Amino acid sequence: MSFEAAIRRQTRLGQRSRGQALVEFGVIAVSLVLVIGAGIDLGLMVTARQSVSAATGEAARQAAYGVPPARVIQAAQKATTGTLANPSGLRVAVNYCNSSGTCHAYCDVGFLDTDPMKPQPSCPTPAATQDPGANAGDLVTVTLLEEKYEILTPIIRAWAASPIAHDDLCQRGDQPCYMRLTTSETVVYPGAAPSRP
Amino acid sequence: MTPALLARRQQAQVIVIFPIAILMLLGMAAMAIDGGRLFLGRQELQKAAEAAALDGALSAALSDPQHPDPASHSGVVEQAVTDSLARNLGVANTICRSVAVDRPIKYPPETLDGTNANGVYVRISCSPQLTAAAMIPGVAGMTLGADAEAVLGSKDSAGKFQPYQFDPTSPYPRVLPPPAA
Repeated sequence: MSFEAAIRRQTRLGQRSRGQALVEFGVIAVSLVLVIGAGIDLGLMVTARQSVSAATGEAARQAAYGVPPARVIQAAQKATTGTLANPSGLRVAVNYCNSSGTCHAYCDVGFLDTDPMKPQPSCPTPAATQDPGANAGDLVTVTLLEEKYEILTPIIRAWAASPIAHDDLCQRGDQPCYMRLTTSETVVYPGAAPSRP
Repeated sequence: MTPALLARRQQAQVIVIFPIAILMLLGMAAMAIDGGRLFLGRQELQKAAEAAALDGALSAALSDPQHPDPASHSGVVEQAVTDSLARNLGVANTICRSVAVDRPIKYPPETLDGTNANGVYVRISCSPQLTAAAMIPGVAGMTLGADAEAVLGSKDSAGKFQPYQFDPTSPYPRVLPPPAA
C-alpha cells in the first residue's frame, strides 16, 4: 500500500469512528451521573442519621437528669427540628427497666403498632408531668426511629429494596422509597428531678 | 513512520490505561468509605463518652447520696463507665478493632459560679479498621478519640450554673430546687 493510500484509509476510518465518542460519552455520562447521585444520596443519609443520633444523645441526657418522659420525647423532637430527618416520620420511645427486667415504656403519638422498634406489650403516650414509675438506678433507653427518610437515586433505591438491605419500606411500588434510621442510647435514671419553681 | 504503523502501536494502550484507572477509582472509593467510617466512628465514640461520663457521675451519687463525690468512689465510677460504654458503643464496635478507656478516670474539681463541684472526665480511644486509607503514611496507626466531662450540676431557671444539691432526707440523690433569690 502506498503512503497516499494509507492516509486515505486512515481518513475513512476517522470518519467512521466520529460517532464513537458520542456513544461512549453517552454511556459513561449516564453511569457517572448515577454513581455521583448515589454518593450524594448516601452522604445525605449519613447526615440524617447523625442528626437522629445527636437527638438521641440529647434526649438521653435529659433522661439522665431525671426529667419526665414527656419532656424527654419533646427534647428528641426539638433536637431534630431543622435537620434532614423528617419530623413527620420521627418516633421516640423511652423505656425504663429495672435490674429484674421489669420495664415501663413510653412512646410519642406517632408510633404505630406495626413499627418494629415499638416497645411491647404497651407503650402509652405520657402526660406532660407524668412520673415514669421507675426508681433511681434503673436504666433508661431512649430510642429514635426515623422511618420517613426518603431515598431519591436509583442505585440506592435498588440497594434498599434488595434482600441485602431488607428494607420493607422500599418495596411498596406505589409509595416513595423510605429508609429506617434507628439509634438508641442507654443511661442511668437518677430518680425524678423535682419541679422547678 | 506510517500512520498505519502508528495506529497499530496504539492498539494495546487501553490495556495499560484501564487497570491503572480502575485501581485509582477503586482506591478513591475505598478512601471515601474509610473516611465515612472514621467520621461515623468518631461521632458514636463521642456519644458513648458523654453517656459514660454522665453515668459515672451519677453512679457516685447513687452509691452514696450523702456524699456524691466521684473522686471518693473511684471503683464505682469506673465500673459504671465500663458498663455504660458496653451499652452505648453501637456502630463504633464494628468500626473499631478495640476500644480503650484512659485510666485512671479523672475527677477534676471545678469552680463554677464560686461553688466547688466535682465531676467525671472520661476519655476513650479506638483503633479503627481501615482498608485503602491505611496505605496513606500517618493514617495507618491513627486512633480515634473522644472525651466528655460530666459535672454534678444543672442550670437554674435563670440559666446560672447550680451544682447539684442532694436532698439528705431522700433515699435517692434528688436534686433540690435552686434557693430562692
